[in-house]
Amino acid sequence: MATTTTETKMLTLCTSDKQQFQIEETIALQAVTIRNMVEDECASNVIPLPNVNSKIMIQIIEYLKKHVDSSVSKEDMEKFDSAFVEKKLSEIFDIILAANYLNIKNLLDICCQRVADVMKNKSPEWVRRTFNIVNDFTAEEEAKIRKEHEWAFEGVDED
Amino acid sequence: MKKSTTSEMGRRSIRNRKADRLSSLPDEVLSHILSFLPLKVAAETSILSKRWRNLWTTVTNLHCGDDLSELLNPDNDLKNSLFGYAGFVDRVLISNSAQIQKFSLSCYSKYDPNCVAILVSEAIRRDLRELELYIYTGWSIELPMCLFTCNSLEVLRLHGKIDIPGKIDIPDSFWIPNLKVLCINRIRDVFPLKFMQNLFRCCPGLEDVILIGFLRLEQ
Repeated sequence: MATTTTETKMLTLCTSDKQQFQIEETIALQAVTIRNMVEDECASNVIPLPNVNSKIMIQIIEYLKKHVDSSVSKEDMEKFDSAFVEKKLSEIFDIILAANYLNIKNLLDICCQRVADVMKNKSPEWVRRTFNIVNDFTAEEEAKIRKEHEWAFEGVDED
Repeated sequence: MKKSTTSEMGRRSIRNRKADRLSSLPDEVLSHILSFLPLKVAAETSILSKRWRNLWTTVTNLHCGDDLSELLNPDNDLKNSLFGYAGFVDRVLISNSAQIQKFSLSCYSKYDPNCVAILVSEAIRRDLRELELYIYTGWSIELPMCLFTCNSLEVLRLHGKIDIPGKIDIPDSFWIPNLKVLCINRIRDVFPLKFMQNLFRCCPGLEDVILIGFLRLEQ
């Protein structure tokens, strides 16, 4: 990989719906998966990202552009991050999958934190309803787990 | 806790079944999400569905808040506490072979210092990288000796009533080669002089040392 060139090097990312995004290499390389592809020289001009669609890519680029900017203060970055995850859960899940695939640790962290915050201080029933989780335990199995984890279920509120 | 009847749940899910996007995330992502929750809340997810049954035991960042320290309170109903405590150690620290990245424990109410020492020792045996203790109660905890010869430890943050054992021998029982960050925040006012004198020799990897509060050295 040529690291000494001073001119802005561009990379083209191609999403699952065949949209192409031209972005600066320094922005794209924050994604470890892309960095590895570039370093291994298995990517030529266009980097295919079959697991990310264009709608999510736009949001990820927005995130990466902000995070590459070293002039942003820590406080402003935190503000940006907390505003960034103010999205519908379905979108958060899409971003989690993309961030996991692209290996962007900070982005994965803030999105996982967002999901964890939704689950915090909620009863299992509430969590099931909110995330459409189907309880596939029999009543006996459920009772058995509750007994095993008695310590964890003490003092849990209804909602 | 109120229970939804199975038939009601069944009817609703057939008529209006929305995708369970959360449960369909890969295991490692779910484990990561659980690592942002206090351990007790993470353990509660075992009841959600079969998919979630053992996920919480794969968490490599353990955050034990005061919810757990309630269990370690010797005045609690002992049968429940010990059962819960044994279950905790067994499920997370023994039966799960995963390395423990970070162990964080906060105690703001009464607890049994021996239980805390055992938990810390168990975590250390699992290639612990980061240990964070907040002890803000009337009782103090003495750090287990094995902490001072822990090869994997990189970050150590101690807050509150924590004692460093006076009996550590230099250098035989004090050698934390990979420790990079040490933060000591208002721990007990008496400190073994030997510990401070040999800190940099016995922790050659130290990059950041943060000492907050007034320290009185003990000869």
